[in-house]
Amino acid sequence: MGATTISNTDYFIYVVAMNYLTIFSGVLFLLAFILLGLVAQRIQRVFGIRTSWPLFFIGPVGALVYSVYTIVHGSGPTASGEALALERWLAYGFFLVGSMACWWGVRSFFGALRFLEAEGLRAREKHSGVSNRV
Amino acid sequence: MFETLKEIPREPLVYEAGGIIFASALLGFSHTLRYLLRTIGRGGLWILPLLGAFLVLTAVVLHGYAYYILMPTAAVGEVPGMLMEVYRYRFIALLAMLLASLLTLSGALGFWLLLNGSRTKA
Repeated sequence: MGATTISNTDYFIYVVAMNYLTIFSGVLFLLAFILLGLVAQRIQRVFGIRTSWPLFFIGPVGALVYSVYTIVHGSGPTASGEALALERWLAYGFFLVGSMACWWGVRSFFGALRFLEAEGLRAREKHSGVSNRV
Repeated sequence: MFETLKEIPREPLVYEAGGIIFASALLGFSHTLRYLLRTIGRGGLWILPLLGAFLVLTAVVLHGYAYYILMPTAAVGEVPGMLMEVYRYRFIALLAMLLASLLTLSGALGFWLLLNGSRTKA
């Protein structure tokens, strides 16, 4: 439908280039989450607190799967009818599940940080109480 | 009314839901980054993923508009050039997504460099 009603230049800009931009932004999101995941991994290793850091690595893969789908789909229909609908459901489903994993990972990491801060404050209060008594 | 609701394609709805959850994950990303930056006595970088979250929301809105408002008209073929309009909206949405990813990565990379720089200095 798309290629027949728009010019070749427009098709290149709005379909081909757009698909590559999608995959590029997916990779950038993946890198950003990996960096935060590495910080979460370090904190888990040092303080022995659960940060769910693997979710930062797994989550953005869902966005990448969606990006790959747009490239495959953009290069022409790979199947017809039900198979195409299934492809679309899988791609969007991966994006949804990946987003949920990112959200849960971030939430878990933030919870761990809050817990560490509370523990630190408690320890400080305990120490200051001991030193006051001494 | 229910008949109209039944006609709405469900796949893009899954994408919209994923986009909204992803934007809220980026909000959490920004919040966590702010917390971590405060811990090392720095600030400011957390604003980048926050902007990213708003851009992802913008992309979701544009994508939804293209799919639910423009696409049905383009499919009927009554208005000439409507298909191009759909492509244009999707293109702008993806540019917003690209900018969001660049901003989020800049924030994370900046924090990573600050963290490792301060560790090396110490």
